[in-house]
Amino acid sequence: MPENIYTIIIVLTGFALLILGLNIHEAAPFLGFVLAGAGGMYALQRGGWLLKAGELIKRTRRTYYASLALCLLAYPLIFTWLQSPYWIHVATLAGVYVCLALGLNVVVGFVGLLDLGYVAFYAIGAYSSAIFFHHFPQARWAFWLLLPATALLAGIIGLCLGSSSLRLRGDYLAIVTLGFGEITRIILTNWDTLTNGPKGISGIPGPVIARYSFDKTPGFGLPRVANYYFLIILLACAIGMAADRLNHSRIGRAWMAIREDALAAESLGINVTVIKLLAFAVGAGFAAMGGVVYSSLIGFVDPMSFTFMESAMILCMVVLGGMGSIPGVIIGAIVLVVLPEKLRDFQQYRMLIFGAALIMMMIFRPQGLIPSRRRKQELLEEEDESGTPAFEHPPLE
Amino acid sequence: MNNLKRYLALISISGVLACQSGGGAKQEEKVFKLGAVLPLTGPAAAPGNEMNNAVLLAVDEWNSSNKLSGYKVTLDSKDDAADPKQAVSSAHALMSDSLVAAVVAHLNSGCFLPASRIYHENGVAAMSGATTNPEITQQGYPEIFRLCTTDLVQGELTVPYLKEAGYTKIAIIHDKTQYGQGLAQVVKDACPKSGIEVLSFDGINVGDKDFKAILTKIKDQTPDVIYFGGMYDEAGLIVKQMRDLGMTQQFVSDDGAFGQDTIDAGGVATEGAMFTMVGKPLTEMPQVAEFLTKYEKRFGVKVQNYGPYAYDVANILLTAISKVISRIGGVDKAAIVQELKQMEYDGVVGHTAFDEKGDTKNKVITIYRVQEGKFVPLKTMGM
Repeated sequence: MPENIYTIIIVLTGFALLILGLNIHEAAPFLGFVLAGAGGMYALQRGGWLLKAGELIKRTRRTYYASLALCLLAYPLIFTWLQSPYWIHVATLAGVYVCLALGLNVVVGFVGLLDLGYVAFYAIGAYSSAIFFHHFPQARWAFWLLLPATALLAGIIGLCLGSSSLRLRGDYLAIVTLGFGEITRIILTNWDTLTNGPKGISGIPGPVIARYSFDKTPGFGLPRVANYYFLIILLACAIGMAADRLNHSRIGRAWMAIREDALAAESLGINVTVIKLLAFAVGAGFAAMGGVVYSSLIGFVDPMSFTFMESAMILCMVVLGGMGSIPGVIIGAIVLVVLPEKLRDFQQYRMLIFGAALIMMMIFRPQGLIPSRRRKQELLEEEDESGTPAFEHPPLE
Repeated sequence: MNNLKRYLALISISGVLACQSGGGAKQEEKVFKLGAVLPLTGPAAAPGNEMNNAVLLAVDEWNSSNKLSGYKVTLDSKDDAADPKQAVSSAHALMSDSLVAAVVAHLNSGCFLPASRIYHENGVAAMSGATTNPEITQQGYPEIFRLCTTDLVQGELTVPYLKEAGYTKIAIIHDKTQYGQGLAQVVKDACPKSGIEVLSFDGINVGDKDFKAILTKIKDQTPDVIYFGGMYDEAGLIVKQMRDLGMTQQFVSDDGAFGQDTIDAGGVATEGAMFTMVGKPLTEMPQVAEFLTKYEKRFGVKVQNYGPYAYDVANILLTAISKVISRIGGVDKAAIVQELKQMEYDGVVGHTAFDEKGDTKNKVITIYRVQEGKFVPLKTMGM
């Protein structure tokens, strides 16, 4: 039993520090906070405390998840109490990107296919819902149908893209997907009659469930955006669980086998094409669901929101968090949404510091924040062999 | 799961070393904030920073003027990077601060459209000096104001002028952006009414450098005037390449291309090109010269385009706030909105009052022609 209490203490301390960090408004103390955090973590790792805490959490998993859920529930209440609904909005946005990063992780992390046009599926989700509501503004309950329907649509488009491009490998596949992302954006820009062109579609309504409208406050003084917060938490959890289940299923093993050696996998009887296509479709579906929530959250979509930079950003989240690691990717997405918001205090130096932080990560922690065990092992082995850390997979240069 | 613990440990330790941040107790000072959300980085950073500087200038003047009944105002600028998503985040960030009394809102229509709802929900007045998409004020939010005329006004006033000048066949080019295409569409729709024939309506991409293909096509259609809806870089290059191809037609463009940058990009080819800009010519208004000198003295650069608008937006908002303060002795957001509705203000860009939608009643544009590398006003028209 005391072990459970230790777990709760660990989670609550972490949560309290997160709240504290978000509430530091001055630029310099925040930077100090982050540096102190990095230093502290290094010290903990050196002292072997991280390992111990990890084993503890593993033993008390139920308590761990229960206390995490409690924190997620408390989060909007705390920021309402602090009169800072801004951070609830940022958390919601982070949730959207968690969905996207989890989806891209299936393609890049699990199967090892570099997809540089992933934003296309996000755009398809967001635009499908926007176009639907533009024509049927009253049918707000349809949001719940749109969620699976656009996922299916994006999945099918993912299959089409995959079936035509999967005979390419590595860099060549990356270039084709990059092209696909651009084609999607250009179609959105030019198909005026359907997408309203560069002007975008505005006035996308919030969903309604059993007469409960997302445009109203959910009570307890919570702002409207808290509705979306809870929705995206549920969706992200569902997607995370689905990704985890898939990863540990036969399909997940097949993905891993293909990532390591497609030829060997095929010789063992795995249908490489079908399994790769499945990964594309699953990833596309996750992104589309994120897109549907995004369009209702922001209430406006335009083609400029779905540029290549967005694809690159989502890829950064996957790489920063740790390719193939679900908790890693979740943390990666949260960090890359929260950090630029937090760095607003630096004004025009914002993107400079952001870029520097990413470069530092690549130097000091190339395997990502929370690497999958397998990749960590790989990097260590490569380091042993050649003396320098190698990072050849996937080819990013 | 081995991994999760690291993150937990990271955040656990980090806080211990950062305890200095426990925010000091709030003092009962008489302060409020003027928010500003403008593109300080990204593709629209140049006009965004100019507007931000102009707002800063206004804020400093009010602070040193003593007209705020003992109150001090600070400027809280947020960056929207011309991105709708960041605009909404920034709007939320400002609205989370109860000291923010009013907001100098966005440069881009695509940013103001989604963000306006956030201002509306919080009952905070937001006024933009540059967003021209008509949809923004059609949403019916009483907190939303706009100082510049919409694309509708600019487009619809441009066309009769072209007719009057004797042009009958027009070729329209736009840059496929919300702004450029939106304005080009208004011009296109207004042409039949004035009896001008629209020969073509083509889009180019922002960032393109070579427009000769599209211009050659247009050349064969023999229009007598070419209209471009877009921004300065492309406008300058298009007019340059027109002249290179031997096309002597009149080139007309919009307020997005009204700036020294167009002349810099196009060189001597821009001679004779015409541009529309919202408002009266700045040279006709004595207050403008004063503002331009002040701006140049403070920031060391010349005002290019929307600086005067941002300056007026800030001054109008602060005037409303100061009236509210002197009337009820405090900053009340709803009272500020009411005050703005009946505001009559004579500023740098002329006389401002707002209609029931929140748009300015000062619906005036001026046509300029480039002569010897300078914009010379030809005619001022109103609705």
